[in-house]
Amino acid sequence: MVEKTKDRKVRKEDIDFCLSASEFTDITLTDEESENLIELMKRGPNEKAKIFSEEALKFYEDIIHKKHT
Amino acid sequence: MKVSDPIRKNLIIIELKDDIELSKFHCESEELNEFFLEKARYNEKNLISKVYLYYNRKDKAVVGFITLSNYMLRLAEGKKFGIQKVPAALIGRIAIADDYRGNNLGRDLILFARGRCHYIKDFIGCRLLVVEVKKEDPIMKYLLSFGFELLHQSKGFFILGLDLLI
Repeated sequence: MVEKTKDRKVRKEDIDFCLSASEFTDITLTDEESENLIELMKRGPNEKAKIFSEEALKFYEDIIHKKHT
Repeated sequence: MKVSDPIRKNLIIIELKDDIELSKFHCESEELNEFFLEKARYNEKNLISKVYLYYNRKDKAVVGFITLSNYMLRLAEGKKFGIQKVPAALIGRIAIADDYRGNNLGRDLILFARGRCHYIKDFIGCRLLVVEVKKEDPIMKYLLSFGFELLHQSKGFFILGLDLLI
């Protein structure tokens, strides 16, 4: 679970949150959630996800390259 | 965010290894401190979760960490949808050390996880990157701004997922 950041407001440019979840949980979706997930999979990534993923791939390549330099 | 930014100049992301000193790491969450000091190595060695460190190679200090493990979303009626389960990667834990807070390094770790999943899905089925978020946590809106979508609501938490199909 993501824990609330304490004693200060989280700003968009300041995302250093804590997140703590079990490694073993899994979930059974409801009918509606299942239909939504199937629809999501048919539709593919949303525009924000595409942009974030492109940034992520660039960041990943850069940080891997940096490790070896 | 560029890896060459001043705060990131000496930071790299590496796998957890035996010779890396963990005891000096401290973040705001005692639960995460306890996990890191007492369970991270066990989980890594036993393939329970993969632990990646944000590491200052100049100071030889752990700046933060993220864990990734397998996850499964079960559909309500498998026959109806043609599939019963959707495989995913779970971001289990993220933490940033006290001294490095306020620099968006948590976002870097999510970028790294997304990037890593791009290659994982070439070897095993993995359609989504998922996180569990407490309902009242303001972090949820940031994850939604990255393109994560709400997949499941429970009493105390949400499950958000990012589609890896690119």
